[in-house]
Amino acid sequence: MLPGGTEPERPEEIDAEIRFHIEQRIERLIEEGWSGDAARAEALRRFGDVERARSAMKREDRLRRWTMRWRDLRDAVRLDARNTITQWRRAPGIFAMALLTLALGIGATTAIFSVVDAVLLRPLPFPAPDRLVAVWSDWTERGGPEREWFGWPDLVDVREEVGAFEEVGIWGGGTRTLTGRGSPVQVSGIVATEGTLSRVLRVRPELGRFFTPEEDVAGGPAAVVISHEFWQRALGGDAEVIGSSLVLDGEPHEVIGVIPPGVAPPFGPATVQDVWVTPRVDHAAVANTRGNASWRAIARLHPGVSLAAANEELHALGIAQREAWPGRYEGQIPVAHGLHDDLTRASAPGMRLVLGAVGLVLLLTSFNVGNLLLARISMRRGELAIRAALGAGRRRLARQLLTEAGVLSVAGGLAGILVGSVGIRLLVALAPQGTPRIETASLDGRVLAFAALVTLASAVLAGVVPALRASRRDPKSALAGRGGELDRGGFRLRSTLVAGQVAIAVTLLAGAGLLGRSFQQLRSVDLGFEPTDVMTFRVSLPGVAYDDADARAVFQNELADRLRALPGVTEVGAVSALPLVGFDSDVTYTIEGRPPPEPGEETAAWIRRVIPGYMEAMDLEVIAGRGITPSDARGAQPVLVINETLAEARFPGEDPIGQRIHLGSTAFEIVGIAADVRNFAIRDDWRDAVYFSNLQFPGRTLFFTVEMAPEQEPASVLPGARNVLAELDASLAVIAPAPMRDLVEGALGPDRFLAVLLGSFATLALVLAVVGLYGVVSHAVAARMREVGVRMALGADATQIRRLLLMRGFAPVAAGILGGLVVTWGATRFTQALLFETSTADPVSIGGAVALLAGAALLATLAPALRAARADPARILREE
Amino acid sequence: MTETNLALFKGTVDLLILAALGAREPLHGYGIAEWIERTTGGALLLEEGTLYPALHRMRRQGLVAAEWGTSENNRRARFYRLTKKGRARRAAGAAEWNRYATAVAAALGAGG
Repeated sequence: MLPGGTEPERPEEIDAEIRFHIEQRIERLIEEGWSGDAARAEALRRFGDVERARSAMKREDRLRRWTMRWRDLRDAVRLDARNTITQWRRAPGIFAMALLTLALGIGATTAIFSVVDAVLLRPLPFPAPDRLVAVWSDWTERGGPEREWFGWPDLVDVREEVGAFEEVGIWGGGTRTLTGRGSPVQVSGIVATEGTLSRVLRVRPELGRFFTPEEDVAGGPAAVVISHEFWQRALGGDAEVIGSSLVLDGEPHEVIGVIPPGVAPPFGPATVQDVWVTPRVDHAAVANTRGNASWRAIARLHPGVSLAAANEELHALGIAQREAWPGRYEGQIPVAHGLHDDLTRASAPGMRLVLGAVGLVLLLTSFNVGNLLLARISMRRGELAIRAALGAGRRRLARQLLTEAGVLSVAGGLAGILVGSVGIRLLVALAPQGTPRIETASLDGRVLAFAALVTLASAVLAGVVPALRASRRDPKSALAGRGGELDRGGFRLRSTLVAGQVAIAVTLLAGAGLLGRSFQQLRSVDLGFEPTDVMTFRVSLPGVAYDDADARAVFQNELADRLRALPGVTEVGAVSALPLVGFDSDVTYTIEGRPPPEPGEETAAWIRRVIPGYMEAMDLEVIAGRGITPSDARGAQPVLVINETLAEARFPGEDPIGQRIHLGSTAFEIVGIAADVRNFAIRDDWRDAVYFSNLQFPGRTLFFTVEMAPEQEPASVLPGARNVLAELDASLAVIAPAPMRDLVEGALGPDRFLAVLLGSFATLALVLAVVGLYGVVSHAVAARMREVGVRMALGADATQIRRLLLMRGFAPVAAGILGGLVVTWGATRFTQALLFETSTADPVSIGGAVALLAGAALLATLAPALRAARADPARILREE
Repeated sequence: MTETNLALFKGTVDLLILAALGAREPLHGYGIAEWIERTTGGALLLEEGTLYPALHRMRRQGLVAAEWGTSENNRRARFYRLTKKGRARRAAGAAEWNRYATAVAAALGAGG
């Protein structure tokens, strides 16, 4: 029953109602003695504005019709939903399958989106984040990297000369050793100029204050700002923390402020840091470091100033620097990039690929559910035809089917959010270390909204095709058809959907195959060293106690000797920077007896200080001459071991041993050639590198490499190593201990992450496509049993029947494989950048994908086809 | 047939319609107008044309139902009756109005 009666509404009824009233009133007035004309005038006067009344009535009636329609639809959908639940109860298998498919599809998409959103899409959590930029030194002109660091004076120039920047923050890494609170511990940290937090990032302190300019000058008071997390974790949330003192690298720092929770620097490590300190640089002392590489900078643009304008100024500054300091700045130029882009550039290509892949999975999911719905329609053809014959309109039927898909999708979406929340945790755990911002991925409002959108999209995708089909059906023909007869249009549609699924599965399988191959290539790369059985950790010698270089050399040698004496240790060495982990700066060099290179054409080599035993512990092969030995001590002739790349590039056809190389003002004698090592990244090309003796040039920081006997866990050396270090100096910590093997695996992290993700998507796609195919073939076979029976009765043998049915099943598979190959080819440019020594047309990956899919498809079609071919024709025909 | 200048407060028309239909239904619009005139002794200035938009709105809101029928003098007319919801609204509206009127009267009395 509709509100206010059911009779249809016509505009003339409004007039009739008004007319009745006025005539009624006139009659009454005449009864009271009014004359005809006067009565009419009086009646109209009493009624008032007829036109206004009429339009108001019309408006109300229109509103009422809309209300009625809306309630009608709402009731109908409610009814459809109830019907749907009954329907699905009748076919729990299909329902469960569709639900699982949707939950996986939506869940995977939601989880991936959450991570991509956190890492890539969300703006930086600082005021006016689009005005934040990263400043880099571009060395591409001299064949160097696109993003190099600066010398301190270079960035002081940027801060003082570039008007586009409101504020420049100069920063560097600041890992510190904290002492005076139990055993020494390593704390993560940033060294940044005083305005970085307050004026560049515009963070407000949770407690206390941030740095003053006086706290950022050489000899100024030592102050430290700590993170909320560090305050809670390491200092127990001490309410009196402000004004207390922390001893960092031997120097007491006053705690002046606490950074609010969750605020990570949007640069460098991009994770929450324990401590922030100021550089307090002595400008005079670093005046000679122009053009060097040890500092980086971020900056905030003035409002309304474009990045391009800033870059023009930076370029002009770079040119001016070249002219003012000939030879210092050749081939390098400062350049600014948007900070968000800069932070996400490493993860962006992989993330985009994964997002694309998961989009394909979702599409496939929807195809699969659409396919299952079509199968249901086929089974329910009788019911639907009867309902159509009983007067249910086509739109009514279409709506019923859309509602079914909608109910299913909502259920699938809810289940998908559950799957997604698990998936997010899994992804965050699986993601390569150091992926910026990944820890912020969570099931928040944005992600839920996305999940809802995806659910809606899949409902439409899955429901619209079956709904259109059902609405086009002619009830007469459906009723007349026999129960088992093939619904030809439906079959064709389902075959098309299967072809689409196969295409997607082939694309994903080929992509996963390519990434897998690329990963395999990366893993089988000759690193140039042997990470197995090697334990590594870092020891830094801070403070005035180690200002004396000889004291450092003595200490480091003593430590190495004591480590060597520990049980299970077979060799000990140390290096200033481990392969694939940290890296030292490079230095330009000249070869004695050759003309000095033109400005901009200097050759640079990466430098490694080593203590004897390093090459042995890492199994780094010395190809010619000798390695660094204990005799290469202070006072002896400075010596170098050069790598193979340098030897081949600079000494082709000559023996480099005995020749001399100048690094800065020091002349070194080449005593040996070492095999090339993947020092910087597994993907990197070889670069010139030189090793020299830490005994001759002792640094403050060394990575110790302890080779253990094969039966020993590398980490088992740690307790002994800690004891040994404490014996020598109780204020020092064993920093960042890690087996070398793990460090190598860590360097492979991003590639493994991508390969694993794409591999899982491809597997899911394969399973879904095969399930869809199996459904279609089974359905087709069941529907064609009568035809099979007739053919067999007419003399066709089982082989012919099998062939017929297999061909039917395989046609969409073949079409899908072709389609998938076209898509794979089209997606080449997205995958290319991610591959390592693997062609985008790699026959093993692509052939493998096709073979895997074809094999699975064969299995899916074979079973029903064999069943049909084995059937007894007489029985089939009798059953008809 | 006297007319005072008592203009109707907003919402009062609805209340009067509900009261009319509560007293006697079904009624057509003219009947409602007559009932109001009779029961108030013509004290209210009712522009009769405003009854109809109100009736159509109340029909949309599900307070009244309408049906075409034949009037006392054998003419086609649209008759209104209260729905269940309309009946409930009438009771609530009357109580509310009484509270309102009492309160206003008390205030005016106190201001004396």
